[in-house]
Amino acid sequence: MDPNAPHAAPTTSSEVVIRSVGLTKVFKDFWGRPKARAVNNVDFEVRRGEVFGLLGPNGSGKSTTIKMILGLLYPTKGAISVFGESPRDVRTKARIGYLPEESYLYRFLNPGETLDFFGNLFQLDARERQRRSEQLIEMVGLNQARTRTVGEFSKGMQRRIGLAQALINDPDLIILDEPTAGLDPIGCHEIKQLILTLARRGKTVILSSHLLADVEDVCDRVVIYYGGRIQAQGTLKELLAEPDEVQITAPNLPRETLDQVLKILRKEGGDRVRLDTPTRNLESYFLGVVERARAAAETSGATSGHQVAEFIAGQAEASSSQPERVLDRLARPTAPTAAPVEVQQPAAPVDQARLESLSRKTEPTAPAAPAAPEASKPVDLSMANDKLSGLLGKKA
Amino acid sequence: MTSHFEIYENDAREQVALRRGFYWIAALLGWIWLFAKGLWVEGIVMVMLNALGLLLLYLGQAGWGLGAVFQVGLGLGIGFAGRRLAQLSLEHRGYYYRCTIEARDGAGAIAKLAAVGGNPLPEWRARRMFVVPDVVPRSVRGLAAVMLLTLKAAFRFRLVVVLLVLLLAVVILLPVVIKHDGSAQGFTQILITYTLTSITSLLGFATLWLACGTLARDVEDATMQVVCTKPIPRWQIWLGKWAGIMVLNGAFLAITGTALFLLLNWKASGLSPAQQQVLRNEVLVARGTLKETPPDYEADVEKLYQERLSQNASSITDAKDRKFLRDQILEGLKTGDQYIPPGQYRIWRIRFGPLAGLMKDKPLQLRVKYYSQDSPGSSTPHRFEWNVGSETRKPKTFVNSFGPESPTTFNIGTNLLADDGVLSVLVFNLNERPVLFPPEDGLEVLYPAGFFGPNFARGFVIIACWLALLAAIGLFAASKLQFSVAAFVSMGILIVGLSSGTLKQVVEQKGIVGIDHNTGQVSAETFINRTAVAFYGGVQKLLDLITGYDPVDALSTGRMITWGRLVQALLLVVGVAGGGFASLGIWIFTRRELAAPI
Repeated sequence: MDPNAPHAAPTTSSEVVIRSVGLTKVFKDFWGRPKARAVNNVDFEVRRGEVFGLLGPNGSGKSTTIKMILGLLYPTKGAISVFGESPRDVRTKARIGYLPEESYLYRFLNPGETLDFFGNLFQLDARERQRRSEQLIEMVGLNQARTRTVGEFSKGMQRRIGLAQALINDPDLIILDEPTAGLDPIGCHEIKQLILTLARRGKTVILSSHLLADVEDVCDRVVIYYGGRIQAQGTLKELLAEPDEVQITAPNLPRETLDQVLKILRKEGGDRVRLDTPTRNLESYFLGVVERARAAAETSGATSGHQVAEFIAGQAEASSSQPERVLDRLARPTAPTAAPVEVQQPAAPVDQARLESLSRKTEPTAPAAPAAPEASKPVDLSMANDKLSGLLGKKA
Repeated sequence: MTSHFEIYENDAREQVALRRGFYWIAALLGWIWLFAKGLWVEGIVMVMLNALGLLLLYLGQAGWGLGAVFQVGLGLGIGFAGRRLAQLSLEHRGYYYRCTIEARDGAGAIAKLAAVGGNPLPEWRARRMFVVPDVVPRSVRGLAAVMLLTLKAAFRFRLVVVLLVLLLAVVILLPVVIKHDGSAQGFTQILITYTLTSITSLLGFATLWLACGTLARDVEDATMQVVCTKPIPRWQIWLGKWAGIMVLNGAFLAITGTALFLLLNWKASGLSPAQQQVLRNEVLVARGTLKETPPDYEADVEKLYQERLSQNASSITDAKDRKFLRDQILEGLKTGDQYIPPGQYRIWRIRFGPLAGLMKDKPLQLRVKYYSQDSPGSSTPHRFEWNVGSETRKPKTFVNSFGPESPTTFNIGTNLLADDGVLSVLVFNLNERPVLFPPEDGLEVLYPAGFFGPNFARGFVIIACWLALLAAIGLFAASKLQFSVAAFVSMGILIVGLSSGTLKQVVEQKGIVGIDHNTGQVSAETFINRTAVAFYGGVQKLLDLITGYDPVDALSTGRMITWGRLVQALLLVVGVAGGGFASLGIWIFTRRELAAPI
């Protein structure tokens, strides 16, 4: 049996990647007596291409659910399937990438050795392991820490190498447990960009995070756990929309015009009509500052930034952006052997506008532009997939 | 003419250019170049390779030509590996790769990079790395990776260095610290018995500790959770760890074995010529052993049994009593064969079979052990007259005396076999008390069967079999338990293994409860006693299988460890016992919930 031989390749975003039915996990003591009901009768489905968020306070059952998806814990009751198979199936694992909540990596290995080890577990050939390791180390900004062992790394650097190992097999399902923990704002931004890029390539991402802003930025759908049960489930739009209010955004207008508009609106809305100046969020502002500083001087710190964006930002062939050039360069050595995966736009498209707004360099006082309708632009994703499939040697 | 130069840079923006291609300076200077580059480990390995090569050439009495070829080969190897070694040297010093540029020389390459503002052009970024080709099949690549990981862990956590120092200290220092008495026996006792026992014990405990730690700690610190989310079957993880430990043990045994072998040959020259002769004849050889074919007592037992039965038919009616009578008759006959009253004799007839043709001019020895009726532990020598040779020709006769209870070996000469390949040994008891020669090791004939070197190597392979079993026991315990508990359990298994005397006693006294101190046996058959005898008997049989292949004893007495014995050890110790623990351990580990709270 070839563990790398994939199951029938998924083609549409309606394909269910994970199905949980009545999933229950009861931890027992030494004598077999029930001690804690960590997950209680949970039902959910994750579809291909979705960024699916698991939210909940500590001890609510998120990690237990993830570990059952990974086959590290077995359900007490109910069932869970990944790509239609048991999570313990070795072939299923060939399609999964997992970033644990902490650095569960061998502390005595350096980044190259770590990736080579995990590449071997996916039965990649020596040259391919070498190629992917080089690219991933560059991507996660550890090029200057090649000779240091993981045990010598800061927490943020450990997250980076953890992320690299999760991507060594170009997985179809990526499970990220607190991926931004310990990362600086640039690293957090890169992770979010990576998640969105992977989703655009038809990959399924499961994200567990305490940072609600992160989840809000990237997730299509979320489930909210409490006490081992799902308390709420749905798309962010469904969950966050306030149907009895509307928001109007406009360029900076003269005071008189604003007064007139307010007067009209207050006739209908009364005291509930408010006027204020939109502000950028702190992350967006921080990124702008760092970007300007980077342009002015080099740093001897961890090189993050552009490398992650270059590697992950697979875009249309027509695009002349830097990420695409990198993609093109990386794809060149290997002729694409796999048929491109046809990707449909997910039912709830990626909030591209919000992501763009995070990194846009505009003056803080300038009013925010309305959400660009990029998500609805026809993007030739098959071309990007073709290139990355070639790059990573993925068989469709 | 231009070459390709790899530009490396450090945090201080200092740049170094490395030329691709053959490194002549590395080839010519060898370990000196490596030390100059700060590659200490590689340099030491190179020195050791040089020394080992020269030593083997010296021992093999090879000519200087072959020595030169060896050195040139090493030089070529390091010359071709020069770039990679130089890369390592730079990376150790905090440099990292920037780009590869074609230029006339290094300075030209650096200047080209400076000319583009220090930002390499895209076509310069590609890095050509030396890739070690895969040598294992794809299906077991995961297993090989885990094996390599186990080895790396042992090196990086300094276990290898510490253990190697300890082992070499045992091999080299023990003979220096403990002085022998100048006899071949004393020399052997220290250099082989003590040293080999110490090596085996040290490696045994290290193997158990490593086996428990490598698996249990991976589970405890959750690294195993990441490994097990990859497409590697858990049996490959388990066996990969076992294989890693065994590769390490193999290397340790090879190094200590070579050191001990060289030390034996070197230190032997310090003995007197007579003792050297004894050493060469009795220890540094591989001698086969032959014993008398055990007689078939069945017919005699049946005859005597029927006689007694006819005499006491009315009193022996119970089946239990009849069995007891039969056993007593058999024991009586056996004792009669072992027992030699004062002034009496006993004859052993030893058949050489097809070996007889190979025994021309080969010196034969007798290895004998007896018990006397003197107080236990008495070492008073007893006198015996020996008549050895053919029963149809005049035998060779001599008298000697030696102490009881421990084996004694003496030469009996050459060409003593009868035409049918049988050697007859007749011994007169010249003492005032009877003596007893036990059937299992009362008298053996030793004959030259091979060389010491290969025998020594086979002995080490049997030690490796024991270590393989210990590794399986450690991993078995760690498959379910935490490190500390696993270490405790596996040590417990080892202690039970070493206390076979207790097991034997329980079986002999037929139980553990209600012992009659007059007879030394249990007074009543109870469920507990039956269960204890069944369990202890089973464990003892298993242990006898495992410990029945003691290479230390064989090597210290110059006895042959045959290939057959080696294969048996592999099958029973590694295959049956080790395989049993491995199967159970893998079964447990495969079903374990790795993320469950411990």
